[in-house]
Amino acid sequence: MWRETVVLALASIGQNRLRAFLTTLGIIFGVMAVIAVVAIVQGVFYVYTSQLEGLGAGFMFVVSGNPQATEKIRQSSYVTAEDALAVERDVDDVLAVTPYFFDQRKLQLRGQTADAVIMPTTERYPEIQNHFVEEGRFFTALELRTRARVVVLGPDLAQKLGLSRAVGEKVRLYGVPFTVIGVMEEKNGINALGQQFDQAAVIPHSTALLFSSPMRGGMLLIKLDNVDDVDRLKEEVRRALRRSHRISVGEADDFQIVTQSEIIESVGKITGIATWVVMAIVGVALLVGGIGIMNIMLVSVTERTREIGIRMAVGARRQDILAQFLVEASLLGLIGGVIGIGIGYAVSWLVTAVVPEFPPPHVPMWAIVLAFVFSASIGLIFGMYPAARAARLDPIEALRYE
Amino acid sequence: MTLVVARALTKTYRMGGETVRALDGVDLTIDKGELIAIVGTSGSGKSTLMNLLGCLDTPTSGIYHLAGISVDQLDDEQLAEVRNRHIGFVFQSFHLLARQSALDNVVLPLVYRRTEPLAPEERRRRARAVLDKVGLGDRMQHRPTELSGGQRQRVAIARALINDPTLLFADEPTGNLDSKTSEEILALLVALNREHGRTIVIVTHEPDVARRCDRVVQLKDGRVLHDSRAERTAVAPPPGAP
Ligand SMILES: Nc1ncnc2c1ncn2[C@@H]1O[C@H](COP(=O)(O)OP(=O)(O)OP(=O)(O)O)[C@@H](O)[C@H]1O
Ligand SMILES: [Mg+2]
Repeated sequence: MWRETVVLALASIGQNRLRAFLTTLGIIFGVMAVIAVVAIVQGVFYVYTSQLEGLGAGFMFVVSGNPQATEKIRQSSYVTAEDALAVERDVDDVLAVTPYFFDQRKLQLRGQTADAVIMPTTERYPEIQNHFVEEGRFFTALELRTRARVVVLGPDLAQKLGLSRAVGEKVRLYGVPFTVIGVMEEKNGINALGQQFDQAAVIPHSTALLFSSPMRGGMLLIKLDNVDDVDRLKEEVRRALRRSHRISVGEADDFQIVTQSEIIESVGKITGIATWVVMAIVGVALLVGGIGIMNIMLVSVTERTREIGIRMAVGARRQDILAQFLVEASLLGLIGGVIGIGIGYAVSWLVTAVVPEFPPPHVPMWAIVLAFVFSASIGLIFGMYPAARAARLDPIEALRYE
Repeated sequence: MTLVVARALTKTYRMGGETVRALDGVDLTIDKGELIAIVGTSGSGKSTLMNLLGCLDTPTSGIYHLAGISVDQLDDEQLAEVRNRHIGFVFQSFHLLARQSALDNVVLPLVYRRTEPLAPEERRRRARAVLDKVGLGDRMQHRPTELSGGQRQRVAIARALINDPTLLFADEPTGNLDSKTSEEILALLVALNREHGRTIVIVTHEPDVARRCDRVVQLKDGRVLHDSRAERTAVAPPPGAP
C-alpha cells in the first residue's frame, strides 16, 4: 500500500513537473542557502581548526600592536627577532620561537615568474611547523647569522618555476639571486601566515630584513612544550615581552598574544553566528516554501475532486486519501530539499573555487540530514490542511464535481 | 437467497429552510441473481436510492441490510470496506481515472482491498482476466482518452467486477452512448446476469433497457410506485413488508 502511495504521488508530481518545480522553489532556495552557507562556513572552520590542530600540540602567536594601547605606542610597535630570543630564553615551557612576517614577492627563474608568499623565519622553522625538507637541506643558524641569500621552496612553487632539480639553481628574489638549497616536503594546509605550505618560499629572517621590513611590525610563532596551563604560559610570555620592550608598569602592551585555542574559539564563534543567522533566514524561506506547497496542494485537491470521488467509490477510506496527499506533499518538500542540497553544494564549490585561496566546502552529515528532514516535514506540515480537505470530501458530491 | 433488505428507507436534504425528501420510505428486497431496473422521472430519487444501496451514502432513517450486514449502523471506514468488497459501480459518465491505463483503472479496487490483500502481480493478473472477459484484452494499456465510449464503459464494468462484488449497480450506463454501443453494453450486463448469476441493479429511464430486466421498480417522488416483482409475489408479501 505504501509503495503504491509513493508511486502514485511521484506520478502525480511527474505529471506537473513545472508546477512542482515552481512550488518547491521556496524550499529549494531555503535548503540551497543552508547548504551553501554551511558548506562554506564549515569549510573555513574545518580547514582552520584542523590546520591549527595539525600544527601540533600548543601554539601561541604574538602580533605587534594593541588596539587598547595609545596611538603613540601603536605607531612604534614592533616584534623582532630579539623578542623571539628573549621569549625562548625567559620562558621555560616554550620549545621554540621564530619571528616571521608577511611578504609577498615575485620569484623569477630564466623568464619564469611565480608569485610567492615569503616566509622569513629561523633555522627552527621545520621543527616548529612540523614541516621538513624533502630534497636538499634547510638553512642553518650560521646562514641566518650571515644573512645568506638562500631559499627553500615549497614543492608547488618549485613546479611553477619549472624546476625538476631545484637544488643549486639560482632564482631572482628582491632583484638579487638566491640559491635554492632545498625543496620542502608536500604538506596540505596553511602555515602560520595563513598561506598554503606548498607555495611558500622560506628564507632566513635576517636576510629578508635586508630587503623588506615587516608590515605591521612582525610576528612571533611560539611552540609550547606543554599545554597544561596555557594561561600561565601566556602571562609569562607577556612578561618576557614587556621586559624586552622595556614597557614600564602601568603602560599598556604594544603587542597581542593569541593562543591557538583562542583562535579556534573565535573562528568557531564567527562560523556559529553565521550558521545561525542563515538558519533564521532560511526558516523564513522554508515557511514561504511551505505556503507554496499548501497552495498547490489545495489546487491539486480541487482539480482531482472527481478522482477522489472515484477512489472513494471503489473502497478508498478517508485515511487512504489523506495518506495519498500527505505523501505527495512530503515528496514535494523532499524533492525540493534534494534539489536544494545539490544546488547548494554546487554553489559552495563555485564560490570556493572562484575566490582564490579559499578552503574547499565541507558539508557535514548533520546539515544534509537536517535539510532532508526539514524539507520533508515542511511538506508534511503544510500538506496537512489540503490533505484533510481531500479526505473530508463527500464521495457523491466529489463524483458529481465537474 | 436475499441480498438486500431495505425498510422505510428515507433520505432528506436540507435546502435553505425547507427539507427535500429525496427518498420517502422505500421498501425493497433483492434476491441473489436478480436483474432489476429502477425507473422513474427525473428527480424521482433513483440515484439517491442507488447511492444508499451502494453504501456511498447513509439513510436519514430506515433499515438497510446487505448480505447480512447492517449497513445503516456502519461508520465511514466500514462503509468504504463494504463498497470495496460488496459493491461494483458503473456510472453514466464512466468515472475512470483519466491519466491511468485501462489496466490500472481495473486494478484500483484491489489496491484498496484490505482483507486478503493481493500482491501487485496477482492484481494485474486478475485485472487482465476481467478485461479479457469484457472484450478489451487488446486495449489494456490504453488510457481512457484513447478509448471509445463503449470501450470506456467496458473498462468501468471490468473495474466493477474485479472484486467479485455481491451487487453491481449501473446508473444510466448507456446514457452517454449511441444506440448500437448501448445495445452492446446492455447485452454485456444481461450476459453477466444470465451466465454468471450476477445480481445487477440498473438505473435507467429508457424503456428499452427496462424491458430487458426481470424486474422493474418504478419510483415517484421518492416512493416505490410500482414493483413488478412485488406484484408477482403479492400473495405472499416478504416478511416485514407493510
Ligand atoms: N445533495 C442534494 N442536496 C439537495 N437535494 C438533493 C441532493 N441530491 C438529490 N437531491 C434531490 O433529491 C431528489 C432526487 O434526486 P435524484 O438525483 O435521486 O433523482 P434521479 O431520479 O436520479 O433523477 P435523474 O433521472 O435526473 O438522475 C431531487 O429532487 C434532487 O433535487
Ligand atoms: Mg440520477
